[in-house]
Amino acid sequence: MTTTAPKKKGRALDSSYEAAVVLKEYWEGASRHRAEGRPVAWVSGNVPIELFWALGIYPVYPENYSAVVASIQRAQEFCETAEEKGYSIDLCSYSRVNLGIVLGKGVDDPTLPYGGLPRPDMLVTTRIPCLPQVKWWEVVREHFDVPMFVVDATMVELPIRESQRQHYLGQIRELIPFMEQKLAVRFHEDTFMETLKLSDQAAELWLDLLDLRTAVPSPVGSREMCGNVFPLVAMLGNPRTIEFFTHLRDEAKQCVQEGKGALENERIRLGWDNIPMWYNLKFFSDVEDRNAIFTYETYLRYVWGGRMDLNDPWTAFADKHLDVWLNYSINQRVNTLLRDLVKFKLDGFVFHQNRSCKRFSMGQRDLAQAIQEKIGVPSLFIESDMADPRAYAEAPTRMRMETFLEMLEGRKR
Amino acid sequence: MVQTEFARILADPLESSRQWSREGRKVIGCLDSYIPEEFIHAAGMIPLRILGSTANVTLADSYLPVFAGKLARSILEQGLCGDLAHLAGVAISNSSDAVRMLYDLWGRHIPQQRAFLIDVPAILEGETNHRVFRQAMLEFKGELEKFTGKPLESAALRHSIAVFNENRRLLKDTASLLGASPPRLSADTYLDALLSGFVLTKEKHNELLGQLLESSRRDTPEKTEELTPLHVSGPILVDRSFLPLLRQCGATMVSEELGTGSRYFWDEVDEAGEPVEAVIERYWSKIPESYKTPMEPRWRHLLNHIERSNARGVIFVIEKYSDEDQYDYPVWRDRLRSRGIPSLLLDSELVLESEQVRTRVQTFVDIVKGGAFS
Repeated sequence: MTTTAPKKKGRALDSSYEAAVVLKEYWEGASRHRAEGRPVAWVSGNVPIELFWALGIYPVYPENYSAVVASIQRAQEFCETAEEKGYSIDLCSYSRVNLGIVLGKGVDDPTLPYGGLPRPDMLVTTRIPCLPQVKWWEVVREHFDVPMFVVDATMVELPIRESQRQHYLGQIRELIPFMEQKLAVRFHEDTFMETLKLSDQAAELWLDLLDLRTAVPSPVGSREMCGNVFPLVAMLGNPRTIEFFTHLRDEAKQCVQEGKGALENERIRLGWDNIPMWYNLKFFSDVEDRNAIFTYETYLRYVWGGRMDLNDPWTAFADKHLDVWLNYSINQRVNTLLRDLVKFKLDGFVFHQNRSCKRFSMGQRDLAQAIQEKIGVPSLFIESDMADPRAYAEAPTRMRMETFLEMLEGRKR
Repeated sequence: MVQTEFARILADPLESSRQWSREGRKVIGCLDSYIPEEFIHAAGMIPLRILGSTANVTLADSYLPVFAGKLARSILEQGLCGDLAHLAGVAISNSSDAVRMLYDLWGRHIPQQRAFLIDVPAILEGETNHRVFRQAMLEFKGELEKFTGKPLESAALRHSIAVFNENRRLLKDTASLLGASPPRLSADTYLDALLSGFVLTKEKHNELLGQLLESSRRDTPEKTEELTPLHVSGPILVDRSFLPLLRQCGATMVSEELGTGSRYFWDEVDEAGEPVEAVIERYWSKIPESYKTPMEPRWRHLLNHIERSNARGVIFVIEKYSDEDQYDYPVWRDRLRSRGIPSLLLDSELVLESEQVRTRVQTFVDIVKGGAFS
């Protein structure tokens, strides 16, 4: 296998450098909001994010913060603090990082990224991505003693059933007055509708960008895209997201039109399932030395930011939040993968068995079997963790990946 | 002796259900505490609680990672290897993420067996969730009616409620003997009585519990050594070697707050109410499991049991990879500590027996006895 082919250094898209700026603006915005006495809520993935921006409540994402902490190689120390406090090493590492911060030196610790985590006035979470998220928030509530609201949902198979939609909307109708009452804010439907428009615009740009990666060669790989996704999680309804994603999409589009890929000699195209190893995003770019590129990720495509038909905004709002990968039954995951995978022209797929995200990891064997049988795409399983580097075994993982790439290369000859 | 009968039943827990099946009766395997067993009973079938097995997991490893937990993996293993093939179906509720996933896996890999999903919310608060909970229960009832081909009659349901409520009252009476002085019932027998109830018909279990209560009250208590009274908490306790181990370490279980114990039987169905609604309401408002929110009713239940039994410490037996319980434990531990009650966490994978467990329990009992806890 050729290993010496030249490849680009740095980011494939110059616009990707903007991601760090947006992230910094977001966290500085949170601190400023707090300092000005305006309400801050701690929220988790797949909460009805647009409501927060519409109501002027700053949504702070401890999950993202844990990912940031992992990416600067500081997750282990906080995980260990949480474990010393009695939280099992088997629990979600995002939560262990967060609880290590909260129960350790505290959220105001000046050595923390961005000067610390702003304290919450409210906690809002949802069962949509997983049940442990709710349990984590219960621990946080025990510490901060602030109001908490949990949005429940049962897992879906598409199309979403009306009863599931009404379950979601019924809770939103309870959440809005809860927020108004507890945080002295006022809901205005016009403002909310404007926020939904911004959210949908961002989702459209993001999905355009992901679709551009069906091109051969792919304009951008996973390492960069994992860094770019954050506004889709936390800033839906914020105009800054539109600006950033427009830059990304336009630049990727131009690359595709010019036939420019992230790699000069793209040979192997890969898919990825599950949350990345934030402390080791290099895993994605290391394969590029082998002229291989990750160009499709379930985490980036189906977990955040679906489109909405704003002719029926409340229905669309509910459906968007329910129609996410982690809330899919296994059958739906299989159907979705089989529906979308072919256009990405993948040679192989890597399943990350992520000890910290059971909801993501259960059912992966069924997915691997389905894509092998139906579209002939072979898979590799690696076991690790999204934030806790102790669960990552460098040498065997690298060796397995290299063997997999050699096998894929052999199939292409 | 009824104790011997319990031990015989638990030596092969599925044997009774195989016999029922041979006799042409339909048996439904129930995977957690939110399956309204009264509906199954009233529909003319027998609910059987599936509590996994301590056997090695091999087939299920092809579909579930190790960190899905031993309970879910071993239940799937039982399904895949045919141990549950005699069941007419399995009922799975939307409980922990791993158990919920079992429903999907059952449909994909054991399609010949009917799987029912009781798709109830995890959040047992608020009008919307209450409405959805009720609807999920009604849908399950409707599915059972389709499955048996006949409507579930009110009279039959009232009878089932009475049978199940009697079982709950008998179990409460049995539990109350645990902490009696002088001792009227050993913790080992209590656990055997509890576990037998999951694999017998409720009618038969009631009969045996009646015998147990009668003999416990009648017989002269044996003179036993002074044992340190402890409370045991956790989602599931099926390892019958644990309570003898506890006694060997100088302690005994005088109260429990187990998912397979008092949390399962504590709350009765209101027999005065409209029966379908009364059953639904019972499951909505029962002592919640760790995978349900809010957590406070479970805490109050735990505390009430400890206070009532005068337990001097708490042992949490928690399944490895059971996230819900693992998050609760430090919160419970700290709250207990603030009340001067020591606690110990033991990780289980349906099995607890090991020298390490013995050492930890012995140390804990010594600390509790010595009053060294602060």
